[in-house]
Amino acid sequence: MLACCAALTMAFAAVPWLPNVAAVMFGMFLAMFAAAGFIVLSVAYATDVYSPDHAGLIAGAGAGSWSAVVAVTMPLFGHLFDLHRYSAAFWIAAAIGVAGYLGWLALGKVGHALACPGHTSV
Amino acid sequence: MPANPVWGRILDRAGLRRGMSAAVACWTGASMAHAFASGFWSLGAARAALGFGEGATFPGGLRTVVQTLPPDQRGRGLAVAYSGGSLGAVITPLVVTPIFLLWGWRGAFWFTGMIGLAWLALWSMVSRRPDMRKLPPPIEAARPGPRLGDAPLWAFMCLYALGALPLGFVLYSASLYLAHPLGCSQEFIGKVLWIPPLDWEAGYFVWGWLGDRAARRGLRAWRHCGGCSPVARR
Repeated sequence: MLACCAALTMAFAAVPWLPNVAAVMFGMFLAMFAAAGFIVLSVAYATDVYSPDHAGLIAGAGAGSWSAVVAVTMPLFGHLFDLHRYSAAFWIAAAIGVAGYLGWLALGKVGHALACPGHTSV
Repeated sequence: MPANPVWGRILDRAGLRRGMSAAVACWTGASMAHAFASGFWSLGAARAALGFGEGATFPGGLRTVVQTLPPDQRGRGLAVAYSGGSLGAVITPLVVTPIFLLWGWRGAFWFTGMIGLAWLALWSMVSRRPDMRKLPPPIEAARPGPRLGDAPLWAFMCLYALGALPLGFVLYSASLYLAHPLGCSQEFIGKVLWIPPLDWEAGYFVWGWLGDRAARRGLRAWRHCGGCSPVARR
Protein backbone atom coordinates (compact mmCIF):
# COMPACT_ATOMS: atom_id res chain seq x y z
CA MET A 1 0.00 0.00 0.00
CA LEU A 2 2.81 2.38 0.85
CA ALA A 3 4.53 1.57 -2.45
CA CYS A 4 1.23 2.46 -4.19
CA CYS A 5 1.23 5.82 -2.38
CA ALA A 6 4.82 6.43 -3.52
CA ALA A 7 3.93 5.57 -7.12
CA LEU A 8 0.93 7.93 -7.05
CA THR A 9 3.13 10.66 -5.60
CA MET A 10 5.61 10.27 -8.48
CA ALA A 11 2.79 11.06 -10.90
CA PHE A 12 2.54 14.49 -9.24
CA ALA A 13 5.81 15.51 -10.94
CA ALA A 14 4.04 15.35 -14.30
CA VAL A 15 1.46 18.03 -13.42
CA PRO A 16 3.30 20.94 -15.17
CA TRP A 17 3.18 19.00 -18.45
CA LEU A 18 -0.55 18.34 -18.29
CA PRO A 19 -2.47 20.14 -21.04
CA ASN A 20 -5.60 21.46 -19.32
CA VAL A 21 -7.15 22.39 -15.97
CA ALA A 22 -9.09 19.14 -15.64
CA ALA A 23 -5.91 17.09 -16.02
CA VAL A 24 -4.09 19.33 -13.52
CA MET A 25 -6.90 18.89 -11.00
CA PHE A 26 -6.66 15.13 -11.50
CA GLY A 27 -2.92 15.28 -10.85
CA MET A 28 -3.59 17.19 -7.65
CA PHE A 29 -6.28 14.66 -6.76
CA LEU A 30 -3.69 11.86 -6.96
CA ALA A 31 -1.22 13.82 -4.82
CA MET A 32 -3.79 14.55 -2.09
CA PHE A 33 -5.05 10.98 -2.19
CA ALA A 34 -1.54 9.54 -1.81
CA ALA A 35 -0.63 12.01 0.94
CA ALA A 36 -3.69 10.94 2.95
CA GLY A 37 -2.50 7.35 2.51
CA PHE A 38 0.94 8.20 3.85
CA ILE A 39 -0.67 9.81 6.93
CA VAL A 40 -3.13 7.00 7.71
CA LEU A 41 -0.67 4.18 7.04
CA SER A 42 2.27 5.80 8.85
CA VAL A 43 0.10 6.33 11.94
CA ALA A 44 -1.08 2.71 11.70
CA TYR A 45 2.58 1.64 11.52
CA ALA A 46 3.54 3.72 14.57
CA THR A 47 0.58 2.52 16.67
CA ASP A 48 1.49 -1.05 15.71
CA VAL A 49 5.09 -0.57 16.84
CA TYR A 50 4.50 1.42 20.02
CA SER A 51 2.14 1.12 22.97
CA PRO A 52 -1.26 2.85 22.63
CA ASP A 53 -0.46 4.59 25.92
CA HIS A 54 1.79 6.86 23.85
CA ALA A 55 -0.67 7.52 21.01
CA GLY A 56 -0.86 11.24 21.82
CA LEU A 57 2.89 11.70 21.53
CA ILE A 58 3.00 9.61 18.34
CA ALA A 59 0.31 11.74 16.66
CA GLY A 60 2.00 14.90 17.94
CA ALA A 61 5.37 13.83 16.57
CA GLY A 62 3.84 13.07 13.17
CA ALA A 63 1.81 16.28 12.86
CA GLY A 64 4.62 18.41 14.31
CA SER A 65 7.23 16.98 11.93
CA TRP A 66 4.90 17.53 8.96
CA SER A 67 4.36 21.16 9.99
CA ALA A 68 8.12 21.62 10.35
CA VAL A 69 8.81 20.23 6.86
CA VAL A 70 6.05 22.42 5.35
CA ALA A 71 7.42 25.50 7.16
CA VAL A 72 10.91 24.82 5.79
CA THR A 73 9.95 23.93 2.21
CA MET A 74 7.10 26.33 1.39
CA PRO A 75 9.36 29.41 1.12
CA LEU A 76 11.47 27.43 -1.38
CA PHE A 77 8.39 26.53 -3.41
CA GLY A 78 7.20 30.14 -3.23
CA HIS A 79 10.56 31.32 -4.55
CA LEU A 80 10.42 28.81 -7.43
CA PHE A 81 6.91 30.04 -8.26
CA ASP A 82 8.17 33.63 -8.28
CA LEU A 83 10.83 32.54 -10.81
CA HIS A 84 8.12 30.75 -12.86
CA ARG A 85 10.02 27.46 -12.38
CA TYR A 86 6.84 25.49 -11.82
CA SER A 87 8.15 22.17 -13.14
CA ALA A 88 11.07 22.29 -10.68
CA ALA A 89 8.66 22.97 -7.79
CA PHE A 90 6.43 20.03 -8.69
CA TRP A 91 9.42 17.75 -9.22
CA ILE A 92 10.90 18.62 -5.84
CA ALA A 93 7.55 18.16 -4.05
CA ALA A 94 7.08 14.75 -5.66
CA ALA A 95 10.68 13.73 -4.98
CA ILE A 96 10.38 14.69 -1.29
CA GLY A 97 7.22 12.57 -1.04
CA VAL A 98 8.96 9.54 -2.54
CA ALA A 99 12.05 10.22 -0.40
CA GLY A 100 9.79 9.88 2.65
CA TYR A 101 8.88 6.37 1.59
CA LEU A 102 12.50 5.44 0.80
CA GLY A 103 13.67 6.96 4.09
CA TRP A 104 11.06 4.90 5.95
CA LEU A 105 12.33 1.74 4.22
CA ALA A 106 15.94 2.55 5.11
CA LEU A 107 15.22 3.53 8.73
CA GLY A 108 12.97 0.48 9.11
CA LYS A 109 15.90 -1.70 8.09
CA VAL A 110 18.10 -0.01 10.68
CA GLY A 111 15.46 -0.59 13.38
CA HIS A 112 15.13 -4.26 12.45
CA ALA A 113 18.86 -4.77 12.27
CA LEU A 114 19.20 -3.38 15.81
CA ALA A 115 16.20 -5.24 17.23
CA CYS A 116 16.66 -8.67 15.66
CA PRO A 117 20.03 -9.10 13.97
CA GLY A 118 19.21 -12.65 12.88
CA HIS A 119 16.43 -11.64 10.48
CA THR A 120 16.44 -9.96 7.12
CA SER A 121 14.19 -6.93 7.27
CA VAL A 122 11.48 -4.99 5.41
CA MET B 1 4.24 23.04 15.26
CA PRO B 2 5.69 22.56 18.78
CA ALA B 3 2.16 22.40 20.22
CA ASN B 4 1.47 18.99 18.60
CA PRO B 5 4.03 16.94 20.58
CA VAL B 6 3.46 19.07 23.71
CA TRP B 7 -0.26 18.31 23.72
CA GLY B 8 0.49 14.71 22.78
CA ARG B 9 2.60 14.32 25.90
CA ILE B 10 -0.02 16.11 28.04
CA LEU B 11 -2.80 13.83 26.72
CA ASP B 12 -0.72 10.71 27.38
CA ARG B 13 0.05 11.84 30.93
CA ALA B 14 -3.18 13.60 32.04
CA GLY B 15 -5.61 11.46 30.04
CA LEU B 16 -7.93 12.21 27.18
CA ARG B 17 -10.75 13.74 29.20
CA ARG B 18 -8.72 16.30 31.12
CA GLY B 19 -6.22 16.93 28.34
CA MET B 20 -8.81 17.68 25.65
CA SER B 21 -10.84 19.79 28.09
CA ALA B 22 -7.73 21.90 28.76
CA ALA B 23 -6.87 22.18 25.06
CA VAL B 24 -10.34 23.22 23.92
CA ALA B 25 -10.69 25.61 26.89
CA CYS B 26 -7.45 27.22 25.71
CA TRP B 27 -8.74 27.36 22.12
CA THR B 28 -12.11 28.77 23.25
CA GLY B 29 -10.53 31.46 25.43
CA ALA B 30 -8.15 32.40 22.61
CA SER B 31 -10.99 32.56 20.10
CA MET B 32 -13.03 34.91 22.31
CA ALA B 33 -9.90 36.97 23.05
CA HIS B 34 -9.78 37.92 19.34
CA ALA B 35 -12.91 40.00 19.93
CA PHE B 36 -10.93 42.22 22.34
CA ALA B 37 -7.91 42.66 20.06
CA SER B 38 -7.02 46.28 19.55
CA GLY B 39 -3.81 46.10 17.59
CA PHE B 40 -1.03 43.97 16.12
CA TRP B 41 0.35 42.56 19.38
CA SER B 42 -2.97 41.70 21.01
CA LEU B 43 -4.19 40.05 17.80
CA GLY B 44 -0.86 38.21 17.45
CA ALA B 45 -1.09 36.92 21.03
CA ALA B 46 -4.65 35.69 20.46
CA ARG B 47 -3.61 33.97 17.21
CA ALA B 48 -0.66 32.28 18.95
CA ALA B 49 -2.87 31.02 21.78
CA LEU B 50 -5.45 29.78 19.27
CA GLY B 51 -2.74 27.90 17.36
CA PHE B 52 -1.40 26.39 20.58
CA GLY B 53 -4.86 25.10 21.55
CA GLU B 54 -5.38 23.66 18.05
CA GLY B 55 -2.22 21.59 18.48
CA ALA B 56 -4.21 19.00 20.45
CA THR B 57 -6.40 18.12 17.46
CA PHE B 58 -4.35 15.28 15.96
CA PRO B 59 -3.00 13.84 19.24
CA GLY B 60 -6.53 13.93 20.69
CA GLY B 61 -7.97 12.31 17.56
CA LEU B 62 -5.52 9.42 17.52
CA ARG B 63 -5.68 8.89 21.26
CA THR B 64 -9.49 8.70 21.11
CA VAL B 65 -9.29 6.19 18.26
CA VAL B 66 -6.82 3.81 19.92
CA GLN B 67 -8.63 4.13 23.26
CA THR B 68 -12.09 3.32 21.93
CA LEU B 69 -11.75 1.15 18.80
CA PRO B 70 -10.33 -2.33 18.15
CA PRO B 71 -7.27 -2.51 15.84
CA ASP B 72 -9.26 -3.55 12.76
CA GLN B 73 -11.48 -0.43 12.95
CA ARG B 74 -8.82 2.14 13.73
CA GLY B 75 -8.05 3.05 10.12
CA ARG B 76 -11.62 4.22 9.55
CA GLY B 77 -11.72 5.81 13.01
CA LEU B 78 -8.59 7.75 12.16
CA ALA B 79 -10.17 8.82 8.87
CA VAL B 80 -13.18 10.23 10.76
CA ALA B 81 -11.00 11.95 13.38
CA TYR B 82 -8.46 13.44 10.97
CA SER B 83 -10.94 14.45 8.28
CA GLY B 84 -12.65 16.85 10.69
CA GLY B 85 -10.02 19.50 10.00
CA SER B 86 -10.51 19.57 6.23
CA LEU B 87 -14.29 19.26 6.58
CA GLY B 88 -14.24 22.21 8.99
CA ALA B 89 -12.27 24.23 6.43
CA VAL B 90 -15.07 23.61 3.93
CA ILE B 91 -17.99 24.32 6.30
CA THR B 92 -16.63 27.21 8.40
CA PRO B 93 -16.67 29.91 5.68
CA LEU B 94 -20.27 28.99 4.85
CA VAL B 95 -21.35 29.35 8.50
CA VAL B 96 -19.12 32.17 9.73
CA THR B 97 -19.37 34.55 6.75
CA PRO B 98 -23.09 35.35 7.33
CA ILE B 99 -22.33 35.93 11.03
CA PHE B 100 -19.45 38.23 10.08
CA LEU B 101 -21.76 40.15 7.73
CA LEU B 102 -24.42 40.44 10.46
CA TRP B 103 -22.33 41.19 13.57
CA GLY B 104 -18.85 42.01 12.26
CA TRP B 105 -15.55 40.24 12.84
CA ARG B 106 -15.71 40.54 16.64
CA GLY B 107 -19.10 38.83 16.59
CA ALA B 108 -17.66 36.05 14.41
CA PHE B 109 -14.98 35.33 17.02
CA TRP B 110 -17.58 35.36 19.81
CA PHE B 111 -19.53 32.81 17.78
CA THR B 112 -16.56 30.44 17.33
CA GLY B 113 -15.85 30.80 21.06
CA MET B 114 -19.45 29.78 21.79
CA ILE B 115 -18.95 26.71 19.57
CA GLY B 116 -15.94 25.85 21.75
CA LEU B 117 -18.06 26.20 24.92
CA ALA B 118 -20.75 23.97 23.42
CA TRP B 119 -18.08 21.39 22.53
CA LEU B 120 -16.75 21.48 26.11
CA ALA B 121 -20.25 20.87 27.51
CA LEU B 122 -20.78 17.95 25.12
CA TRP B 123 -17.31 16.55 25.84
CA SER B 124 -17.91 16.65 29.61
CA MET B 125 -20.84 14.27 29.06
CA VAL B 126 -19.41 12.04 26.31
CA SER B 127 -15.99 11.56 27.90
CA ARG B 128 -17.57 10.10 31.07
CA ARG B 129 -18.74 7.03 29.17
CA PRO B 130 -16.96 3.88 30.35
CA ASP B 131 -16.07 2.84 26.79
CA MET B 132 -14.03 6.03 26.48
CA ARG B 133 -11.63 4.73 29.11
CA LYS B 134 -10.98 1.24 27.80
CA LEU B 135 -7.60 -0.17 28.68
CA PRO B 136 -5.48 -1.39 25.74
CA PRO B 137 -5.19 -5.18 25.29
CA PRO B 138 -2.18 -6.57 27.22
CA ILE B 139 -0.28 -7.40 24.01
CA GLU B 140 -0.51 -3.73 22.96
CA ALA B 141 0.18 -2.33 26.42
CA ALA B 142 3.39 -4.39 26.62
CA ARG B 143 4.89 -2.57 23.64
CA PRO B 144 7.50 0.10 24.39
CA GLY B 145 6.97 3.85 24.18
CA PRO B 146 8.76 5.99 21.59
CA ARG B 147 12.20 7.38 22.38
CA LEU B 148 14.09 10.02 20.43
CA GLY B 149 16.84 7.57 19.48
CA ASP B 150 14.46 4.93 18.05
CA ALA B 151 14.90 4.24 14.34
CA PRO B 152 11.17 3.33 13.93
CA LEU B 153 10.14 6.73 15.40
CA TRP B 154 12.28 8.51 12.80
CA ALA B 155 11.01 6.13 10.13
CA PHE B 156 7.44 7.10 11.08
CA MET B 157 8.19 10.85 11.07
CA CYS B 158 10.03 10.51 7.76
CA LEU B 159 7.08 8.73 6.16
CA TYR B 160 4.48 11.13 7.60
CA ALA B 161 6.30 14.44 7.19
CA LEU B 162 7.97 13.89 3.81
CA GLY B 163 5.38 11.53 2.31
CA ALA B 164 2.53 13.94 3.03
CA LEU B 165 4.43 17.07 1.93
CA PRO B 166 2.56 17.27 -1.43
CA LEU B 167 -0.55 17.83 0.68
CA GLY B 168 0.79 21.16 1.97
CA PHE B 169 2.15 22.02 -1.46
CA VAL B 170 -1.26 21.60 -3.11
CA LEU B 171 -3.17 23.33 -0.30
CA TYR B 172 -0.97 26.43 -0.39
CA SER B 173 0.08 26.55 -4.05
CA ALA B 174 -2.89 25.26 -6.07
CA SER B 175 -4.57 28.68 -6.34
CA LEU B 176 -1.30 30.32 -7.46
CA TYR B 177 -0.65 27.64 -10.07
CA LEU B 178 -4.17 27.82 -11.44
CA ALA B 179 -4.04 31.64 -11.56
CA HIS B 180 -0.63 32.27 -13.13
CA PRO B 181 0.59 29.64 -15.57
CA LEU B 182 -2.90 28.38 -16.36
CA GLY B 183 -4.55 31.82 -16.38
CA CYS B 184 -7.70 30.80 -14.49
CA SER B 185 -9.91 33.61 -13.12
CA GLN B 186 -10.40 34.06 -9.36
CA GLU B 187 -14.07 33.26 -9.85
CA PHE B 188 -13.19 29.94 -11.49
CA ILE B 189 -10.56 29.14 -8.84
CA GLY B 190 -13.15 29.80 -6.14
CA LYS B 191 -15.40 27.24 -7.79
CA VAL B 192 -12.80 24.44 -7.99
CA LEU B 193 -10.60 24.99 -4.96
CA TRP B 194 -12.76 22.77 -2.76
CA ILE B 195 -11.81 19.76 -4.89
CA PRO B 196 -8.28 19.09 -3.50
CA PRO B 197 -9.44 19.04 0.18
CA LEU B 198 -12.26 16.70 -0.85
CA ASP B 199 -9.68 14.37 -2.44
CA TRP B 200 -7.77 14.50 0.81
CA GLU B 201 -10.91 13.47 2.71
CA ALA B 202 -11.58 10.64 0.25
CA GLY B 203 -7.99 9.44 0.66
CA TYR B 204 -8.35 9.20 4.44
CA PHE B 205 -11.42 6.99 4.13
CA VAL B 206 -10.17 4.77 1.29
CA TRP B 207 -6.75 4.13 2.88
CA GLY B 208 -8.33 3.74 6.31
CA TRP B 209 -10.73 1.16 4.94
CA LEU B 210 -7.93 -0.68 3.10
CA GLY B 211 -5.77 -0.66 6.24
CA ASP B 212 -8.61 -2.08 8.33
CA ARG B 213 -9.29 -4.75 5.73
CA ALA B 214 -5.63 -5.74 5.80
CA ALA B 215 -5.67 -5.81 9.62
CA ARG B 216 -8.72 -8.12 9.64
CA ARG B 217 -6.82 -10.54 7.40
CA GLY B 218 -3.83 -10.42 9.71
CA LEU B 219 -1.87 -8.44 7.14
CA ARG B 220 -0.20 -5.08 7.45
CA ALA B 221 0.43 -2.24 5.07
CA TRP B 222 4.13 -2.89 5.65
CA ARG B 223 6.26 -6.00 6.05
CA HIS B 224 8.38 -6.72 9.09
CA CYS B 225 10.92 -9.45 9.49
CA GLY B 226 9.70 -12.78 10.96
CA GLY B 227 7.19 -11.29 13.41
CA CYS B 228 9.70 -9.56 15.68
CA SER B 229 9.28 -6.00 16.90
CA PRO B 230 11.24 -3.33 15.02
CA VAL B 231 12.02 -1.71 18.38
CA ALA B 232 14.76 -3.24 20.51
CA ARG B 233 13.21 -4.27 23.85
CA ARG B 234 14.36 -2.17 26.73
